[in-house]
Amino acid sequence: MSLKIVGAWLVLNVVVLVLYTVIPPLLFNDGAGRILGMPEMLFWFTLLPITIPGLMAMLYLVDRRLMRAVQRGGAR
Amino acid sequence: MSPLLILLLGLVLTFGVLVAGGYAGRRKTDNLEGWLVDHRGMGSVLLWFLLGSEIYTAFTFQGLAGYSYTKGAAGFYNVAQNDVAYAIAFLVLPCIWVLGKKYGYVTQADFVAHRYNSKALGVFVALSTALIMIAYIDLNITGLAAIFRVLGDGSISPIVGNVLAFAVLACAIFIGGIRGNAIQSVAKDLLMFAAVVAVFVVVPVHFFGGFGDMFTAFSTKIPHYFELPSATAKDLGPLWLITTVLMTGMGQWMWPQWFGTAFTAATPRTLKRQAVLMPFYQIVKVAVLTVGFAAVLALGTGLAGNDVVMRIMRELFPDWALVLIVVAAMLSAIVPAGPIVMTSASLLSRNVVQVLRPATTDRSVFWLTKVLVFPLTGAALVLTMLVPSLIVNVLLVAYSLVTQLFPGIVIGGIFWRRASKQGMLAGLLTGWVLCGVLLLSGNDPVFGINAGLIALAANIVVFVVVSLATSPSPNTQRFAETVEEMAAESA
Repeated sequence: MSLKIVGAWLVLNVVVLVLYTVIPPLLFNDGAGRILGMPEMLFWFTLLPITIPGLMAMLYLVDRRLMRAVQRGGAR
Repeated sequence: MSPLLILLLGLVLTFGVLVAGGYAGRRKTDNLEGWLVDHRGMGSVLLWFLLGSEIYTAFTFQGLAGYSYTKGAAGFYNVAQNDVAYAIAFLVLPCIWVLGKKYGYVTQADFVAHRYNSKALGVFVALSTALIMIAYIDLNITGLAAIFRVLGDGSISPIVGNVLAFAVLACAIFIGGIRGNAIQSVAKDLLMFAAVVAVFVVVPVHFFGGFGDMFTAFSTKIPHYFELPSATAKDLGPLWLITTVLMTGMGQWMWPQWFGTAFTAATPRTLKRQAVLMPFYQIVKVAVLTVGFAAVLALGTGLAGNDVVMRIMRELFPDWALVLIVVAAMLSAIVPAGPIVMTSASLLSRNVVQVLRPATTDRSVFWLTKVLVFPLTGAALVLTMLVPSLIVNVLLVAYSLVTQLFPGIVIGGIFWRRASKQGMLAGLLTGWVLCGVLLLSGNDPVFGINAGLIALAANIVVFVVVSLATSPSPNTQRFAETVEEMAAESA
């Protein structure tokens, strides 16, 4: 069970890192391009702070389920 | 209203918030655990403000706009850094909380000394991180000085203002402890939000005619500011972004004052909720970065980056609003320094003095910690004024230096039982020496890679190799056991 907890956490870490650092230079690196009227990169970095809490909330729910399983049967 | 009157009114209101917060937090501060970690009983709302106050400082208010103003899109690293850190915190901080409660840790050095069964290693970590933290206070002092310089127009000497402000802060910390600081943080955060929202709304309307026109001007007149690397910072490209965010994200919770907030929470679940909710704070950073971009067009280039926000505010806002902005900016500089001073004091008293003189009672340590607040605050001020070049050099490497604690504390402290004290020490020294050499010689980034991350990679290799070659330190527990205790505490 502890492996599942660490696994879910690591997946979230990788997703957040990729969304913030890999995606912008690949897909939003044209300063003249615009999305919803904003420069692409500004749009992406405005979107993420309101998106990431949703992803974190998903991890929170998964973690809560796993923690309940640990309470019932131990971490291993 | 004259600049002098604006500053004086701002100072009086700031002092009022500091004293009121310190007074309100004075209960429950009858021992070190109460004063430093609020008896591990802080709820979600107060903890959110406390963390927010420590992480979103004068740098957020002034320095970040200066970063986008001078270096363009590279400034977005700072938005990414905190969210990566919150993702890391989701599991790491609750584990630290569990171990802290079980073994009675109130400082980071407690954690290291017990985990590796080495008081000497604890003393070493305490002394070195206390030194790094004192230098970090300089960031806030620099922020304060900018307020006096730009908004005060020379009417009050920055030295006099800084001394007054930090004397009041030291008194407020002495009385209110971490709880008082958290209450001050509520006022500071709310005022800072209001000031950022005000400047974020007024700047586009005043200089461009609206948000749409401002964004159009961004794309047509300064498109290169929204590309990586931007024209003004050609060495800060995509690889730099990835490696810097990774390095600073891992390093964030290694700052002893932020590490210590893990001990203040009421339950591990409180900390997990913080990890979910804290990313909302990043919207403030995006707003400040946008003001920095706007300043390129509104004010032209060539100004001191750190002064840009203050100059815009002075130009746009009426006097009464400037007073509130002065209060917000001053609190953003002063309040976050509180936990830094408190943590430095506790590291010195509990992890150095009490270890070297075991006869010192816990009560004496408590009072020594409180009293040390005054000389430490004074030392930070004096160092900043007398040897600014030393401070600049330490700050240059500070984040990279604290990140080098990550292998010993997170990998060895939580997950890997085979780690040894020799491994942690060897890795730490390797990382620190490499950081010093690369950063102080101007070799950052190295082929586009953040120098601190290169040092961290070397640190981890040495940490693992030396640990495998030496006997593991005995005071550890299985990760599964930590998880079971976390589940029990979360029930």
